[in-house]
Amino acid sequence: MMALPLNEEQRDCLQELTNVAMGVAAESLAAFTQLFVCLPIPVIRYTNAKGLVNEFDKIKSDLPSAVISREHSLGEVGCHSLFIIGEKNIHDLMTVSNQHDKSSAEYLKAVFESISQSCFDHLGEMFGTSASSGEVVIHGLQINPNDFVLGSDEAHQKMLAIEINYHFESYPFSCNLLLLFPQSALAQLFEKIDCLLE
Amino acid sequence: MRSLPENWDVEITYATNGVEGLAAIREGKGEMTFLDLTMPEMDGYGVLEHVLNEGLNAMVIVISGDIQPEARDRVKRLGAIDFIKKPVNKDKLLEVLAAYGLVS
Repeated sequence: MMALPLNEEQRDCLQELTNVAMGVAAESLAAFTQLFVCLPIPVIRYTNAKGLVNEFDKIKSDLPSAVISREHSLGEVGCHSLFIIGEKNIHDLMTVSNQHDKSSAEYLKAVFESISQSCFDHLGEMFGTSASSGEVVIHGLQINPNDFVLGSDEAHQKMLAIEINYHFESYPFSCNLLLLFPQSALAQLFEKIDCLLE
Repeated sequence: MRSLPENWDVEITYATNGVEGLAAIREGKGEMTFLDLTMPEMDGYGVLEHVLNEGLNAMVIVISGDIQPEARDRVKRLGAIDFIKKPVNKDKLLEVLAAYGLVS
């Protein structure tokens, strides 16, 4: 495991910001499922973009998975979100949400679009900057997330990855939202964090 | 903690997880407790359950990023006197503290 490129104060601040943003995203997720969403402690890691999922045990244990991504920007900070949900969990999610008529791809896309939007809009608000989000891209519904590679420019970069493992009370399934900040965006991200800490 | 009233004449004890927080409350250091819900070791709901079941002396204000209405209802049922959503707004915190007579 690589050491985080942030100091303790910056890490605590980023974890706290994520905690707030993931809470807003959880409310969106709860609106889809009508279930109480249990909020985890976000896990922050610094890792290689390629094979980044190997760092996250909860994702690794749930293969194959659906992998959906989206690009975002927080002011000048470019970043990505990644939604990963195990094949079996997709079925459970569709069932509890009473989505028997929709295709799973269509439903997962709608869920991810909503939670990623909520999450990044709120991060932008806290950073005092505008947030924008790109198109949702479905990479596959039954793939190994490690086979998924971000853009070619980022494939060999290191990433600051924040894992949010949502689970649902009384139901044994979960899904993962990853917030990914490529190495090239970290200086600007840390600048924003430092501004908040002043 | 930056949002706490300036010159508030209180002794502050910090806890990094629910177990530490509960231990501090049991030692009488949590008359006024600001409690997060998402914590390692024991979450905020667990702390509230102990406070309630053991009849511990703690007025608990939950400060959380979990804005699901169910979260707010649960903590109220478990005895929290109020719920403030993160990020904490200094004026909102003062308003809540004043409402309970904790600051003038």
